[in-house]
Amino acid sequence: MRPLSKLWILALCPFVLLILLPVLGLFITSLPFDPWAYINHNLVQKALLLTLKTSIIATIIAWCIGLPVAYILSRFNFPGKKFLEIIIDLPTTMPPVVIGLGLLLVFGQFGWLGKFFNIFGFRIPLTTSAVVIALVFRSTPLLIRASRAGFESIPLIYEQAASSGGMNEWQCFRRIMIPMAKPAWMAGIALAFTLCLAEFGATLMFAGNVPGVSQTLPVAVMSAMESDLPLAICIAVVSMSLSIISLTGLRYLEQTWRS
Amino acid sequence: MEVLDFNVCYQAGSFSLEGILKIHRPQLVYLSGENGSGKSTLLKLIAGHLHPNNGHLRVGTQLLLDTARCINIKPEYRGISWQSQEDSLFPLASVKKNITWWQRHAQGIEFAKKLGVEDHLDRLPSQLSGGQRALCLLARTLATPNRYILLDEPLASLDDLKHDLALKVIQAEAQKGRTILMVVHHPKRYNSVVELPRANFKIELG
Repeated sequence: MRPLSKLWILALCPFVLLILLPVLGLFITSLPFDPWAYINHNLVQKALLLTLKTSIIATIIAWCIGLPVAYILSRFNFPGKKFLEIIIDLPTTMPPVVIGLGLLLVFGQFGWLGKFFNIFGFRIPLTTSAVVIALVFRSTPLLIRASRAGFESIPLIYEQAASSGGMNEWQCFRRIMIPMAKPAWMAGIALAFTLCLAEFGATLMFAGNVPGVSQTLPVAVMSAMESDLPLAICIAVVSMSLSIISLTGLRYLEQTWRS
Repeated sequence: MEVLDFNVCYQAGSFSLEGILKIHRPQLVYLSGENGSGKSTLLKLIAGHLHPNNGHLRVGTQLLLDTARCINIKPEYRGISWQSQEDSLFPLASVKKNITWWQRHAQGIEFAKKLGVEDHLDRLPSQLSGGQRALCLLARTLATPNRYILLDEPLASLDDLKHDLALKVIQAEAQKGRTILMVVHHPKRYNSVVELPRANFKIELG
């Protein structure tokens, strides 16, 4: 690495300003900053707790679903692999609102699966489960992509040594591959979790806007915008701070594990 | 009946390996040959990490591979320990965990003592020198319960003193009735080395 020259600092400016201006704008308009007054607000509190709860659950589910997929993609060749790779990129390239609509059509009261669930008295749209499903749908691909790169960087030799010593494929995956790819999937978790905190379109479309049930922070911002701008700004500041804190925290953890 | 009966035809790109290997009683076999003659490939084929186009492999009374009958037992069920040329100690586990990971604690420690690495048990592989890692890897392979051992240049990075020590341990294991196939790089240092020719090989050992 070499020190940065003046020319490159100039080239850096547009990007940094673009990112920082809205962030600064929010913080400055929210002054005098009193985080406790915001957090004690009933609506904010509910939205904050719900966002944290659903994001944590969704990230755990995404990890469980995504890690085997990432491993399979990194190690095996099979018919339909290209197709699977396209499917994985879909949730990140499709408009979130469209995803929400799709989920609604499947899990909704008259959807294919929704009808089935209805028989047993379960209703998914407009519930907290709907938020989690939307978040899992959106965040799993990020986790898969990050973990896949990690698995691919591990030499094949360790799996061969493990299998020659009598470990079956599952044991090898659990005891050798997952620990060795930890920095990679930790980076994936950081990405997935922060995406969950920020998810808006699919959540609003599929889970609605019910305070305490499906109103996450981003949804609450939009909801407050319609009646109370100062409240919207304060929720936005809470939401943004949460993202910044969790991203730096997870990045820090990832760094310590890497070294 | 042979302890090992291997008949193979393997092709990958421009590389091909074809021949017969028969071993009639448990022993230590030194395998040599020029670079690219397929020594490592031969071991990988026996261990099951490469799949031959044609061939069959019988170990003792067990048929492990028969392409004609679509039999191909996975490496983990073959009962053959294989050690690669590359360092394959698991980097996140201590030496002790590495050596005793097949749940054979006593054997692992015993081999670590025999090979003179018992002082390094609590260290991580990255904290050891190349030679020490090679000895730990050998201890891990020999501590497995398998009667068939394939070693790919296990002594390449050892100094003369350690080399002789490790060789004695390997020879002692063969005396106990294990069949050990060991690829060596300097054939002059060993007695009765089997040369693997480039073309069709036919090796039969009494």
